[in-house]
Amino acid sequence: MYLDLHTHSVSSDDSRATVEQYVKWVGVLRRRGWQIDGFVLTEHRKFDHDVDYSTLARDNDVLILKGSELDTSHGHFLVYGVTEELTDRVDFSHVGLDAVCLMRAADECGAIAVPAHPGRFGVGLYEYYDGADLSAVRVVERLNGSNRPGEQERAEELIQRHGYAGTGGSDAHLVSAIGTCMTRFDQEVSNEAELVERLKAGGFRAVRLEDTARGGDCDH
Amino acid sequence: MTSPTLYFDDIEIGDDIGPIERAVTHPQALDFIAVWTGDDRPTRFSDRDTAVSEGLAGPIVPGIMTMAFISSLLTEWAPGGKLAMLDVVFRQVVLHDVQHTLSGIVTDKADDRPEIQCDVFLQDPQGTRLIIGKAALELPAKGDL
Repeated sequence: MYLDLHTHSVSSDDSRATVEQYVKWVGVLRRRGWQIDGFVLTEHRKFDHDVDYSTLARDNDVLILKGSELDTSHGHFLVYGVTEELTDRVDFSHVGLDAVCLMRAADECGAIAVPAHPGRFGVGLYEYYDGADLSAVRVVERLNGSNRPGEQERAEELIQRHGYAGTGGSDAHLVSAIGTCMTRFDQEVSNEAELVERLKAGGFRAVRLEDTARGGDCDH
Repeated sequence: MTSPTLYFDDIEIGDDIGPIERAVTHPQALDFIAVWTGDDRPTRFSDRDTAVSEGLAGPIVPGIMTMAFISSLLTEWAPGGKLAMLDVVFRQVVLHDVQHTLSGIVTDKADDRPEIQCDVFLQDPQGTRLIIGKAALELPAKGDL
């Protein structure tokens, strides 16, 4: 199945897309022959335990999961499987979170923290190999739909050097960007806990939208 | 020559808008700034040395001027239409004398009125989106909705 693991709705201050508009655009992509099963909302520096998209998801046959994108000492991190225990332990609004502590806390709370757009200038993990113990990093966001020239190459270099597994996400801030990069999972994912399980177990790879045409599937 | 009117009925979600190419020349920017501010003191918008001293690669186009260009992308694409809303995010600076590409895509059509929603972009020659945003356009309709 194909999931976009990195999207922002208007709940993030720099996005202009509503969740309802994303769902409608998923329908457009499907009618054009692309495969997309759902997406994860990864709002900047926040997590809303109360917001519930289950009706919207069910009515449109789109999986809508929730995560977050946090600012750390080692660049931005995507957090999946957020629990109340994790938000009690970690101040999501803090812009200088210790990345190593975040990864440990996430793991202990049943979540996973994954470096976002690791090749990004300024806020990608690539620039922060400063001696900190980053051995907990196993997965990074390999394909990001908002990458600028040079950033994909840096991400690939990191992945090559450290043997990381790679996800894909659009980093959509506008309606039409959703699904431009996604993650293909060999097994079904139906909720956040299963997403964490799959990311820890392997059996996924980053894809671009054009790779999802039925009958065509390129590896990245 | 007048472009034909674009009707709400003829638009489909996913329709492309543009692209068009635009470069704001240094003299154009100075003319705009003179009208906009009435002030000819050197700023990052008008003067290379001031811009460089602030860490920029060169003088930058005022955000409100780039919004005017994005507006023109939409109104030239849909003659007879009315721009009801334009909301943009300035992600990176826009430099003078660089050929930029403006484009958009229709993302939604209202059910109860002849209004469309679009994503809009201004990107540099390397394909980096410097400005992104959304817009709403009211269009003439052929009949009742």
